[in-house]
Amino acid sequence: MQYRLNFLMDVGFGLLFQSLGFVFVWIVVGQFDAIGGWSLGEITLLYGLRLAAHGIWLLLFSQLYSIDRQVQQGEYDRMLLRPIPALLQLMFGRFRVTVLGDLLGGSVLLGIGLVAVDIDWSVPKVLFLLATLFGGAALDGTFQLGPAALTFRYLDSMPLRVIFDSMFMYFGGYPVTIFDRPARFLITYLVPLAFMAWVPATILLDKTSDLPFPVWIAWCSPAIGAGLLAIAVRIFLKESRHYQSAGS
Amino acid sequence: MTLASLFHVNPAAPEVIRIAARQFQVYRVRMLFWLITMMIQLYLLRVVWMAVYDGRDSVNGVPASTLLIYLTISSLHLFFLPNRIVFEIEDRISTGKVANDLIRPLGFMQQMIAIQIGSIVGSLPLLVVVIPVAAVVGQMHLPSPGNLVLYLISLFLAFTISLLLWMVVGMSGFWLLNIGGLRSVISIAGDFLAGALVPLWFMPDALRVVVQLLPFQAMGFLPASIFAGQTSGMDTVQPLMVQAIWVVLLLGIAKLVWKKAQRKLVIQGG
Repeated sequence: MQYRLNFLMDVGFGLLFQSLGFVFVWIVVGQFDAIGGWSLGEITLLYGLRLAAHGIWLLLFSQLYSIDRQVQQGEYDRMLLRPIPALLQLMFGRFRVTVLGDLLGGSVLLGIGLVAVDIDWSVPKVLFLLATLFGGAALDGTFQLGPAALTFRYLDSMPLRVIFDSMFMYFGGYPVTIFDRPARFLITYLVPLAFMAWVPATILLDKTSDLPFPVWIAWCSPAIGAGLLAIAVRIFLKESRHYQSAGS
Repeated sequence: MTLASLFHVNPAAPEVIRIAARQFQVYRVRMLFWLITMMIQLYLLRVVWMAVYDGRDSVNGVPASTLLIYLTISSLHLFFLPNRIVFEIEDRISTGKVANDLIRPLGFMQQMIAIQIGSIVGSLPLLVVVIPVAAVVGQMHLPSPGNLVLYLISLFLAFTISLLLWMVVGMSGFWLLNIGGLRSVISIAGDFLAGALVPLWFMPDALRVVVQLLPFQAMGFLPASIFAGQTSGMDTVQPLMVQAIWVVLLLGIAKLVWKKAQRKLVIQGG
């Protein structure tokens, strides 16, 4: 805690960065009552769902952020020398404080959203909500861990990860129906970030008539996230064999 | 010391500007990805705003096309506004390079300003790509000749305010030593407070009052509003005055902080 102000600023930054996105929605929806047929409470739930899942992913894998540097500088060597799989070390290594801001913001928004809307609760829905948080984290992670695998060959995957991260951030917190056709196709099928929060939210809020596919697929959202992450892990492990350490 | 003397041309300054402009080339790839991220954001803004307009031509006296032009030009401002100066100052303080900078014949602040100007000059060729792309993703329409002139004046003032503000933030590093968190917070909050996501027209009254008291709106909202044609003619006098006041105020603060900073300087690991 050498730089206490800076620590607070880091948490504040994480919180601010994500919550300003929400303040934007809040102002816009507040002025106009609804967006794409979703009320402010429903949007809050949707936004909180995505942010909380994002926070869970970051909590586990925040160190992935610095993988480019670790590979470029040969710091990854150390991980290979220890008797624990390198991927686990990446998970439980140093941790970025801004993450707490994301998690805090996500939990608060999710809480407010759950209180604000009238959900017809049932046991499957409760279980589904919990599974969704982790499935969403896995989906988010798929598009971070997958691109990160490129670092082993090309030494730099940061720009690609940033683009996926901004796609998730900018598109993930809105009802998919407000986007135009190409964008809807992109975020539902190609980079299926719709499954992180919007698809599950339609189940919780009984809005499944908005879905472009049968409801049972929506119930599979957490499994889709987990399945994609499993593929990303395989790719990451396979590519990590191309690690060459630093020259010299 | 007036603004003119701050920019007093020391023979070394053009050289520093030239070098900084060339250094910008190093950031080409990074700028490209910044650009993509910015375009995703602009697209999202357009979609969300049009979803709430829901087919109406005009809301609160703001036509949909005016809003789109406003959002587009605001995004462009964010892309080109001066902020490299804060990274430079931060780097020089934390590495102790500032000791070398101080013994150069060109004053430290003048060096930093020259680097910032050079970095903007270096980024100008990007406009050829950025403007057409932004016009497609958002919407673009040149203002009337009168508004264009007023806009350019307002933009110059906005750049000066931004430069001075980031200079002061950078100099706070003489006391705080590590300003990464502070810089990020101001940068993110600043974009919002500059009206880049929600123009001041649509902000709730309480928020708008606060925003109008801060310098950020003078860095983004005021020129963008003139460009979009929502502010024109005699209505531009007040915004331009507000901007001029911020320039004078921040110039005074910057000078004061710099005077104190020179006594405070810590060279790490010296």
